Amino acid sequence: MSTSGFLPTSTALAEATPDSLSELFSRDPEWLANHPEDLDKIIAALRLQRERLMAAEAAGIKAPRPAKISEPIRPLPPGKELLV
Amino acid sequence: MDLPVPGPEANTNTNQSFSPLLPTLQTTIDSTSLGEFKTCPRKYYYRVVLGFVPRAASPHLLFGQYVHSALERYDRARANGLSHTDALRAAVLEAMTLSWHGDRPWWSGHPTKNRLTLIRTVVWYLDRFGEDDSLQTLLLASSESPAVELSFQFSVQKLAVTGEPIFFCGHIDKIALFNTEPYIVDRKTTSITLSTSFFSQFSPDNQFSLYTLAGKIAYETPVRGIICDGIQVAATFSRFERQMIPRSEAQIEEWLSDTFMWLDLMGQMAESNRWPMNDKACHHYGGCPYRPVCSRAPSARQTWLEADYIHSIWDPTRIRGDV
Repeated sequence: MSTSGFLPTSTALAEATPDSLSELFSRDPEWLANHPEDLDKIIAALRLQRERLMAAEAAGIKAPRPAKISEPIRPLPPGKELLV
Repeated sequence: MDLPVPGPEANTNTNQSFSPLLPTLQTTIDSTSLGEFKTCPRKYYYRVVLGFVPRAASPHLLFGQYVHSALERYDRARANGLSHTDALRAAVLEAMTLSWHGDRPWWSGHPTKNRLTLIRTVVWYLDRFGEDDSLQTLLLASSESPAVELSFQFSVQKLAVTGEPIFFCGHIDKIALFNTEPYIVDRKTTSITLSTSFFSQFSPDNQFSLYTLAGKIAYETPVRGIICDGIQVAATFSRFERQMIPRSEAQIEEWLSDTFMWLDLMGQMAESNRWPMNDKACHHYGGCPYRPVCSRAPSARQTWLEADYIHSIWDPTRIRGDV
């Protein structure tokens, strides 16, 4: 796979997609310290993300706006009821 | 109004940057402390003299610290002879470790400053400025070791009100050659576009002037100023720009002369334990974290401080600042 303009990412690039990041990000640091191949997959996935972004920019496609992060659910204060 | 003098839980006996003779007087000063004092003496009093910080850490502050530490890890690994690939792995692991809180990933609740954008920023930055960086790290004349992660402390021929010498201190990421001339290298994360106006905020700038002076005095290197790597972090991308921020000899002399006047003022306030508010700075950078305290009646402020803030000593002789 071509990585034009960027450092080679070896076979990890072929295996990793941005979608796999959430799974890789759930690994605790101790696991990652003992599994450098997972670190390589994270690096490769992020490089792939950049390549996709650059390709989209080159094609004149704007990056989508990120979804708004919702507030964590909090209990209602005492005496308040949820109106439905 | 009488303000509380710091007790044993704050600076006395624990913060080495303060005078043993006058507990409100800082005698070893970094750019963060000086910057807080210049911004607002009351803010400096709460943050540095008393050592109070908001209970909830700012995602911006944490993000900046994590990026800085990860890139520092890379620099150190490279200085120790590791390849770019191995040093990059070490930097990513550092960022993943720092952003692992207890038994779960860091959840910042922020669309641009979160764990994913952190790791992405580290990887993309090091792909841009890692292996093929045009900056050449300087070797220290004293030890022949690479000039990375340097902690400095030097006297400036200035005595405090107690007669003790005043020292400047801080931490420099790197000293590197750019077109054969030495510069201090510093990185700044931001959410705003890396335009001319972003870089113009550093001339004049307290931290960059002190660092240039430190390069000249503490490392006996004729540094010309700062190479600033601007790191823009957005939800879907990270971008980088590098710019030179020069400082002439005359500018540094003027900065030092002005700083001596600020230090005199700091000494007067420490002696009287009176720290006036600069109420024109309350709204800077999204609002001062101590505004909720200052907006209360004077008699209620201590209660608010103790309820909504925690103790975190700012001792620049021990910790890294200026991220």
